[in-house]
Amino acid sequence: MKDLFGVVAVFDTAEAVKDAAARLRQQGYRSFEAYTPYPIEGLDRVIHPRPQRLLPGLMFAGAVLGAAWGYWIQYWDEALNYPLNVGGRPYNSWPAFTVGTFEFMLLVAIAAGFFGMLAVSRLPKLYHPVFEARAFARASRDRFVICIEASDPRFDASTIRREFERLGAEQIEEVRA
Amino acid sequence: MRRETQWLASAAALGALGIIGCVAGAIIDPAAFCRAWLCSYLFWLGLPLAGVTLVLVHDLSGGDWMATARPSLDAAIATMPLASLAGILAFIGLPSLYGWTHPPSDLGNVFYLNPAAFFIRYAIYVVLWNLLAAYALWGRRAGRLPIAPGLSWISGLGLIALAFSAGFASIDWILSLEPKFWSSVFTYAQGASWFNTGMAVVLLTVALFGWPGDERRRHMVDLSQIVFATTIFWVYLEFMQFLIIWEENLRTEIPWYLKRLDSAWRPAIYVSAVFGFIVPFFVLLWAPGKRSRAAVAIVCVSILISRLAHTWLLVMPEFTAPTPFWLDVAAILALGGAMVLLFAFGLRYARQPAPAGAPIWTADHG
Repeated sequence: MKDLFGVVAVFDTAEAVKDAAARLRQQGYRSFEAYTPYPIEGLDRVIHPRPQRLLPGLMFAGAVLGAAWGYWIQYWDEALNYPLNVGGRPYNSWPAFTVGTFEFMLLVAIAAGFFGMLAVSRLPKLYHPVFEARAFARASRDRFVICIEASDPRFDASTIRREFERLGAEQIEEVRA
Repeated sequence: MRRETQWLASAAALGALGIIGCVAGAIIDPAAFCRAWLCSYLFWLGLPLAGVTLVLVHDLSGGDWMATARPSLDAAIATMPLASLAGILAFIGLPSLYGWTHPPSDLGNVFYLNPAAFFIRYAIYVVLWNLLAAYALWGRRAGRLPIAPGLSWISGLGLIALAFSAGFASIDWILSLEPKFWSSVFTYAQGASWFNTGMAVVLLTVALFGWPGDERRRHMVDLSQIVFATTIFWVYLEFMQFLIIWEENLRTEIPWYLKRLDSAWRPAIYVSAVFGFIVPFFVLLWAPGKRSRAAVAIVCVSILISRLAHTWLLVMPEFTAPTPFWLDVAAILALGGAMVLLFAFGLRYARQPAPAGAPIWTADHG
C-alpha cells in the first residue's frame, strides 16, 4: 500500500468550489489546490491570498539586467572595440543606444517571466498523483475538483472526508501517491 | 469641510497674489506678460481637455472606474469656458509673440499663418471645445454608465474632432513660435501632455478626497493605470521626436533643440523627464504604489511639476528677451487660482450618482 497523497472532492458548481475553498482556508488548511475546467474569478485569491512576490521581482531583476547588458554591448562595440565616427557624434551615443537597450530589456524580462513562471509552477510536469483520481477526468469538462494534500499539517483523512460531505461534495475519494 | 475651506482660501489668496503680479507685469513689460500668460494658458487648458477626452472615451469603452472619476471629470469639464477663453489675454499681444505676424519674405505659408486666420481658428477651437464640453457634461449619463448606445456615435466623432482641433491648436500656439520648425509627432506629444496634466489633477482629487471606500481604491488603481500608460506614451513620443531629429542632425530641425539646450531653461528638460516619466513610471509600476493614496498623490504632483516645466521649455527659449521668473509664476497662479476655485466649486456641486434603477437604459460594459 502506497502512502496517501491527498483527499479529492468533486463539486458540481463554480460557486460551490469557491465557497468550499474559502471555508477550508478559514479552517486553517493551507496545502490544497482546486482544479477547474475554466478559470474562476477570484478563486486563486481565495486559495493563495498573499500577492505573488517572487515572479514580479524576478522579472524586474531581468529587466534591469537586460537593460544593463543591452547598453553595455552597444557601448563596448561602438566606443571601445570598434570606434566609428558617425557624422561627428560621440562614440557613446546614448540616444541611439536607447532603442537597443529597450529591446534587450524586454528580451531578458520576458524570458525571466516565461522561465520563472515554469519554475514557480514546477512545470513541465508529466505526472501528478491527482491524475489517479477517477473523478479527475471530469475536471477538464464539467466538474470542479479540490484536493487537500497529505503534506498539510492539519491533514487527517477522516476529518477531511466529513468536512467535504458537509460542504456538499458530490463524490469523495482518497488518492495514493 | 473645514480643511477644504482652508484649501480654497489659500487657492484664492495665491490666485489674488498672481493677479496682482500679472497686473504689475503687464504694466512694466506687456510683451513679457503675454509670454508668461501664454504658458499659463497652455498649461491649464489640459484640465478641461483631459476631462472631455476621458468622458468621451468612456462613452465608447465603458468602465466601472467612472463611478469614482465622474464628479472630478465633470468639475474639470466645467472649467472649459474659462480655460479656453483665457488665451485671449495672451493673444492680445500677438505681434510680440509670433514672428510670422510680421513675416520675412521667404516664409511660404503666410496664407495660413496670419493674424486673421489665427483668430478664426482660435474661435473655431473655442466653440467646438465648449460644445463638446457641454455634451460631455450634460449628456444623459449616470454614474458609472456611459451615454446611451444610440448617441455614442457623437462621442466617437467628437473624439476625432477633439484630436484634430487640439493638434492644430498646438501647432498654432506652440509650434508656430518657430515657423520653420516642423515635427509630425509634436501634436500627439502635446495632446498626451495635455491629457496627463488634466488627469493628474483629476486623479489627485480622487486620491485626496472622499475616503474611505474599498471600491474607490479599486477605481483609483484603474485611473492610475490610465495615467501610467499615457505617461509612457508621452515620453515615448517626446523621445522619438528627439531621437529622430538628433540622428538626422538637419539644419532646419536641430536648432530647435539647440536653442533649448543653450537657454536658461535647460534644467527644465531634466525636471520634465524625471518628474514626468521616471517618478511616475517606477512608482506606478509597483502594484502597492498604485494602491497607496499618498504614492498616487505624489505622482500626480510630480506630473504637474513636469508639465509646467515642459510648457515653459516649449515656449520661453523662443524669445531672446528673458521674462522675469516671478511673472511666469504669477501668470500660473492667477489663472490657476481661478481654475482651482472653479474646479472645486464644480466638485462640490457635482451631480450625485443616480440611484440604482434610475437610468432608462442599460449598457453591459466591463
